[in-house]
Amino acid sequence: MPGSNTNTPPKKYPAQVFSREEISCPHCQQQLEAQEISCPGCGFNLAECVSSFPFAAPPLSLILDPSRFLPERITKDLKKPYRKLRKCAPQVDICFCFVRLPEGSPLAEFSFWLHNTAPEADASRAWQLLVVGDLNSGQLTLTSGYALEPFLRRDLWEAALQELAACFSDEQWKEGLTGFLKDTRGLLSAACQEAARNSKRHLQLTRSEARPGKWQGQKAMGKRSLESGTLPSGASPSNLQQTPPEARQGLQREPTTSAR
Amino acid sequence: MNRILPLMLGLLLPTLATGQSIDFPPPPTGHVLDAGDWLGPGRKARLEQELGRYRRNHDLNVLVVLWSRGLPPGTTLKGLAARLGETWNQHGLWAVILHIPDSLQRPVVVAGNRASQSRDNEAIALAVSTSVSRGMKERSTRARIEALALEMGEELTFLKNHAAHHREQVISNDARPGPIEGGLRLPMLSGALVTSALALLLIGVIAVVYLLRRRTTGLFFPETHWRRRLGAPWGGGPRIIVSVPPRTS
Repeated sequence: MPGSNTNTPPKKYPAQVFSREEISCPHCQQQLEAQEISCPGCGFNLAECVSSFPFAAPPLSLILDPSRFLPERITKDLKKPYRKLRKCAPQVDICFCFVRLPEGSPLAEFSFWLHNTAPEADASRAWQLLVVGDLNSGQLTLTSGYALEPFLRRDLWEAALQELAACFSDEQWKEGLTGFLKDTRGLLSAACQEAARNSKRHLQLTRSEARPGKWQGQKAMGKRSLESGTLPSGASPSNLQQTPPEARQGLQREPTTSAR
Repeated sequence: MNRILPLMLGLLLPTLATGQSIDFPPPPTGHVLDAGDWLGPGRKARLEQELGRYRRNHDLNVLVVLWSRGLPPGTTLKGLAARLGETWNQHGLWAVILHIPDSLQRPVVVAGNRASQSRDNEAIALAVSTSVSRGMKERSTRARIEALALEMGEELTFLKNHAAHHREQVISNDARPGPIEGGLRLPMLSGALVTSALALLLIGVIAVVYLLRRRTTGLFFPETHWRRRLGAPWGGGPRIIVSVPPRTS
């Protein structure tokens, strides 16, 4: 683990270094800004969501199947690929939950509620992947914690989830879940490599910006984006000439909450 | 038993008779036994000088015998020469050139080694053959006798020197590692083997370290500033929703 062999806490990067994907409200799908207490469009937040599910959430584990929908030996079948995944990416944990939600209970809200209110939560919950399937509506969702969120590319993970859904359609539970665990391993490996490249590039650009008089043009561009508060078109996580002000300040340490 | 005993006596008696019938003269003081002075004083003096030199320098005993006592019945000239050589020589290489003067028999050459080995016997036979083929080219019998003695002396000298050289070579090879074994082939071979083994060992170690690192070190994502929202402590809700396709069958 980076920084684990020293006494200094790990360096923290702005999430925009790794992802530019928008965040949205689970209830109305409206685009959100970070640090919104509640959705400006519908007023949705966790407190309101908790009232929608007036019962205690179960603790997260590899398989949550209260209706005994899956075969009994599925946990045993998933043991090996799950162990491989944990070995490959020790930070990341995964949970599959299959429920029958009543009508009027959106799957996205249930997933949001379960992820945030399940007991025994600690900092590792921010690295959790949660796959929830509603057997009534026939939908599958993928939820991730804040720490893992910037590293997940939507299109790739959606494809993996589609594969899982296709297997479920053919009642190939074991094949679908083991395949998804394998895909998760591959996607996380690729994401980790890309993250390493992006963080390195970010550090180089931050240092070059710190040199006086050498990168004046880039600084001017950064200032313009800082003043406007938005990014120019074509912005990408790797193009840090256009990173927002908090990103350009380089490596920061979060004063209060630390995931690791 | 009554039949076997006469048969054995019949076989042994001629041998005993032959051995007892030869009246060996005492060994000559020099190298030439020529009671009748058949060779002539000049030839005899030369032979004594040359054969004496062989004896002094190389410990070879080459004798020229001009036999005037008649050949015992049942004894060949070669057999007589061999008996003379074995009787008169107690050690080392020897050769006897035997001739009966004024006879029609050709001179014979017999040589031997008291400490003989089978390999030596072959070499001695070759030396005798060589000296005979050279010495018998002379025209007169006297000259042939002289030439045979001198050639035999040379051949035996060569034979002795060759044997001594061979022994030295064997001893030196036993005493120290030979240049082929110790100096050339073994170091080159062992060097190549050691290099290959070290290279393979190094590759193996690198592979093991790589595999161990690959197995033990997992992926670690960098820490980021969380984009908290909606009052949720750990996650902002799902971003991906897919539908399970209807079953085709």
